Amino acid sequence: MRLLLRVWQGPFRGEGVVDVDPDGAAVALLPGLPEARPTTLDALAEWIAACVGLGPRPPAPAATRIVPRARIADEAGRADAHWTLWTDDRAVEVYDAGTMWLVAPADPAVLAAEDVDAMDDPVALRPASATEIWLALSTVLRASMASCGDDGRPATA
Amino acid sequence: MVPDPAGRFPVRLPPGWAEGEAVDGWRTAYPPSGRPRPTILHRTVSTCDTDVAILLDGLCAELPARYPGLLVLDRSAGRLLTAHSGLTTAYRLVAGPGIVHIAAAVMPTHRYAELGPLLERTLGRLRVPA
Repeated sequence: MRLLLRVWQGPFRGEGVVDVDPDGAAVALLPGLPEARPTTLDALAEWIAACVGLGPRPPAPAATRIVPRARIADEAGRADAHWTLWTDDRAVEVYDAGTMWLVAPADPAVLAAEDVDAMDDPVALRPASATEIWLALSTVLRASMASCGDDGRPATA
Repeated sequence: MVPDPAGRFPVRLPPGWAEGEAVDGWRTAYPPSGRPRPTILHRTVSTCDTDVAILLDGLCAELPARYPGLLVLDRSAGRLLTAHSGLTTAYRLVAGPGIVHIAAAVMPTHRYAELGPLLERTLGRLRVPA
């Protein structure tokens, strides 16, 4: 399975690609790395965290808000980091402006309820702790080896 | 360092987990299977300074110095989350009179999505014995 990383803003900007084997081994070319390197999914999570500057932030008091994608910076402030990691069917996008926000497509039901269905490319900005970001990142990584057992070997072996 | 009192493990363990041998002064508990097995640890430290925020400051400085490459991912009141060498570790500190209880949950990072919330809740039940 292939994982893709795009860092628009952060300690290391650019695009990354990671090829993951069923046994959890991976080959990663990430922003900041001069060449592709062999690694494991577990170490990869740490590489990505370092690449995007994931770390402790003050508690986020704000509530979830729906905004046009083009106005994220107006609503959340200038980004120290902005990145997304995705695979075939899962993605995590983070906008870090002191407060960290998880960015996701806005729920159509919420859009209808709030009468903002005419908004251009609406996204939901949800404040999140670094722990929640780590959980979301781990969930995407976990999904990339969903067919494997606990020890990284195929569950059917 | 003071010895932990004998008796029940200081946090209520998830179903199927059981206490194992103590390691370097830490009480340990494990699930019945998994490789590498996630672990919950507990120890007490006697100290004059039981300000948990100051103790967390110390841990945030000490851990990366002791383990190069260790990432401090998150911290909040009484808790800390780190990653190093493919392992994610959640810490919980609770202070009592002259003593600090430290509980930690160590798990393979690729199992954090599965185990993290459960083990964080488990550590959140750490209380100073009456």
